[in-house]
Amino acid sequence: MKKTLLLALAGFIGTAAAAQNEGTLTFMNSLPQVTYNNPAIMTKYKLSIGLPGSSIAMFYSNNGFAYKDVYTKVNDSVKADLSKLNSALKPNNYITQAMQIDLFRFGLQITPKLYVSLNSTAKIYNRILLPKDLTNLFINGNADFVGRTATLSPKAESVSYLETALGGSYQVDDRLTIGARFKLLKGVTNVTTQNATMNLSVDNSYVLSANAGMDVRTSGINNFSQSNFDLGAHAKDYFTNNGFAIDLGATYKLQDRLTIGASLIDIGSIKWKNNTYGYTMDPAKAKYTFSGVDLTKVVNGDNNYLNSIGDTVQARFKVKEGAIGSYSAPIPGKMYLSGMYQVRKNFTAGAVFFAEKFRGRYAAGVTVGVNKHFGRIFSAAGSYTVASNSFNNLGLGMSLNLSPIQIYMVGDNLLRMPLSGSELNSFINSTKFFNVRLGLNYVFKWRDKMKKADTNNVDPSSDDDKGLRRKMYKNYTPDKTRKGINRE
Amino acid sequence: MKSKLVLSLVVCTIVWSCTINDKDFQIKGVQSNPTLVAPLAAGNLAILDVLSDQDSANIKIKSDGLVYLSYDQQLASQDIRDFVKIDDVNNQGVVVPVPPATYPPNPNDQTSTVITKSVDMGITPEQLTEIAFKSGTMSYSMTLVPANNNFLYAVNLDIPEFISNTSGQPFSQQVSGTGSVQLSGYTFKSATANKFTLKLTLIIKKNSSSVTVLPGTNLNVNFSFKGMDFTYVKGFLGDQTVSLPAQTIDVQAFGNTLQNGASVSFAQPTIDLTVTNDYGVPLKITFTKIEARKQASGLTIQTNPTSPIPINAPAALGTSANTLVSISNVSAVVNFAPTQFYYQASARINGGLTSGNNFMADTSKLRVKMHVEIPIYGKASNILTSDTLDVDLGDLDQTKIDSATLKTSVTNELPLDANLQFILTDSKYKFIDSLLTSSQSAIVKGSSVDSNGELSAATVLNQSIKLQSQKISKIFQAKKIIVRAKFNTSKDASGNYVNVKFKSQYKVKMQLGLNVKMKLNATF
Repeated sequence: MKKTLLLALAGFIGTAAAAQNEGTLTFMNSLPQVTYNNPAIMTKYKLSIGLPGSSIAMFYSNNGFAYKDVYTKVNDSVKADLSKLNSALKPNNYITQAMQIDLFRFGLQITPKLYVSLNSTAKIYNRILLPKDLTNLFINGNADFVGRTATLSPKAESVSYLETALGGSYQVDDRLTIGARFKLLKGVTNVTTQNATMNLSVDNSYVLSANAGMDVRTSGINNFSQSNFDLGAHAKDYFTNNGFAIDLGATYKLQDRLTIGASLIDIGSIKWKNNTYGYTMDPAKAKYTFSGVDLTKVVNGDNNYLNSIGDTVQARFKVKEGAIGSYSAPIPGKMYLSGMYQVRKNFTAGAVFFAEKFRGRYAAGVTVGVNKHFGRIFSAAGSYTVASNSFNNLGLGMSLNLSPIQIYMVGDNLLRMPLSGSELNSFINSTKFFNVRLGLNYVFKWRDKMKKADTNNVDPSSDDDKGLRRKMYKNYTPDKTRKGINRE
Repeated sequence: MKSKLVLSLVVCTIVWSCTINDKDFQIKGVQSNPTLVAPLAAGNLAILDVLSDQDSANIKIKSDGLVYLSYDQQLASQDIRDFVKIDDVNNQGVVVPVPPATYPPNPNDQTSTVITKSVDMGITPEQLTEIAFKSGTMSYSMTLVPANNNFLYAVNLDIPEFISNTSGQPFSQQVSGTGSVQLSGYTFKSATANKFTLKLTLIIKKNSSSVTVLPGTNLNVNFSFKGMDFTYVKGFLGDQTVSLPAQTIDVQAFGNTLQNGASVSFAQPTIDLTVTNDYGVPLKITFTKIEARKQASGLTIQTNPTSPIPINAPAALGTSANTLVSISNVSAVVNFAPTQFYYQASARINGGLTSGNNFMADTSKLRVKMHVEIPIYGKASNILTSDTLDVDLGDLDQTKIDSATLKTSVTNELPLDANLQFILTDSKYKFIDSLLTSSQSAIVKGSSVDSNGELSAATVLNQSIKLQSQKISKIFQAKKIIVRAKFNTSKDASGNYVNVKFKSQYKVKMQLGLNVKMKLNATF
């Protein structure tokens, strides 16, 4: 059975999750969305507009296992291979899914040194931590835990919010460009695992000791468990969770051809007020050691003893739930460090180190890649990314620049899809890290002038600093490419 | 043109590749072999935990920790007051002559004739000099013959031996006609045993008229004493023998835990009988039959001293005297583990005596109390305990268990071996199988003891007992599991049972765990 790309992607994303970092996007300087990775970067176009759906991004990452680790083929029959899965797992397996949809985007170069942008973006981020010990318990039982303590508690994080951001980049001098974006956040739903522990110890005599604790906070979710909840009547409540975040970035030209960049993205938090509901378990109470049936009590005829075990465990590990007060929770923050080298005209090679920090997890990756402009019409990027414990991520970026329309697609593991053969199976089976951003922008006026310091966005048509331009892009004509002379 | 070509090629390649063969995603089955471990049971058991609940109130600990069973049981309370019985004394008539004369009117009563009479209460063989009446009625009636209605008279009745308990004065009362007097509140005290004196004094009552009494006129007074009972008596109670009714007394003195066919031998048990006597009279008890009984068999108990056993008497009324009687064949009795005592006895007072100062109260008793002490010091074999658990694993798939291993860790300070067996039966207790092989059932090894029977070294036994798969499968057929434990005390190096001590501080630390390897296979 064959399915279309969109169906496949939708299904794939629907069962997985992603970290939000995008390495290849940094190379795609033809896209206005490149500023999402560093607000200091000035885009190619003086004016860009994005309407709802102009940019849809989906992310998935799983630092533990790929689908191929889940099954084994036996005589052309597919069987779940739990041992294989278990051996593939890392101690802490983070499965992340995220999505971003631009509702509106506007970018304008006001002066040659100043570029401003305004955007409204809906963001969804879900992450679950699956400890290997937990899956090991179901796959191999608890015999593996003898003599040690197993960590069993999963942790879930989820946040959805609407971001309205006003940003700008300013060229300070020939080398330095700085940028910032200020974001007003409206939280929609949230799940924050402030604390969740479930430890199980098994000693050499098989004595089981468990202790647990939980402090999970939610906002906007418990309403949906109420049968009489009317979302329409309470829609306004879902925009009472205010927050603020900031993006900071800078690029610096170290040499004529070498520019480095650094940025911090989504540094902020949301104060959750609407329908806040908590689930707690007191770690001081949630402890129990079961050494077996207490022979002393049984021998002494304590008939209620066996029943009391269940009652005691139930009482000690009872999850209390109820409405809670407001609370603040950060949004996933990201960091990018980039270095771009202008190898030749319209051809840039570079590397991007990126990281995400969110609720106790620091996840990093690195992308090396190249970017090539084929005139103004088509820009492409190729990349290789190491992230989420996976090393097979070949990225691809493409933009078809048919001003005023720009159609694009970029992703860190996109190129491996066509390279995997006639079917997506081998791609899906081996994918642990994947993201894609695609959409349609309205773009106007490829910038004729470009400050020489902005080598991340080198404009071959810039009239400023003609010495540099002549040196770098001699005989370059923006509207068409002259074969044979378009090189230094 | 070149860029458009490249673009077209890339787009076409992506679209062409974006198909999925869903065979890889149609998982047909899953297999897993988890190994689960869990503690089954644990505990620090002492001998106090093992002894039967029915014995728990009687378990005591000596200063060195030696546990012993201590029983005090009131075997019987014999009442020999029936030796003394005070019969009714009837028709004690007294004739009081009235002097003939014509009596002028007189303003005051005048005394006249005095008559005394000694009354024997007819008590035999007792010679009582003191009787505190608890009850009794003295009735009287008087008749003047010939009748003379004009003659007014009364009688002053004195009984010097009847002393009021409240005033300490002898009985003295003016009576006339018919009437009665309650004797409770009076105590008969007489130097002459069993006898008292009636003294009647005729009283000529004041009269405003003259009256003539004819010669031969008598006042006939009749007395009777009925329903006399005593609070206490003193005197000589006579040489008497009474057969006490046979008694069968249930005893729990010998530990229910140790029944059921066990071979038990205690090293230093003691049984004492304490006779507490309230009667102030020389007394001897003869056990015509005394034996320990268990089911249909009996064992004669040998007392020390042998029958007749002199019983000490108290020196004063209201006090008691104890007499200790030992059981000389105590080990045999204890090891016999009786459930009943049976005895038949007679009591003789004042044997061979003709006089004496005896006393008894109506509340006096002869109480026999048994005191048993059984130190848990000895040797035993085949002490069996069992319990039945209802199980129903019929809904479970037995094929899901690949193997199971019972892990035991036992540190034993008790000089007691334990063999454990799990017997699988159907709902009607029909034997299916036993879970452990005979070589696997020795779960607990007794500690070693020194020549005094005290702990020398604890034993540590860690075992992994792999259960045979065919036996595991029968667990699923069973409806009941009988957990049976057989205990034996430790043996010496030669394999002979030796006397061992069980002290309260000796513990057996047990930890039982189960390791089960599952075999899970599911197809979709």
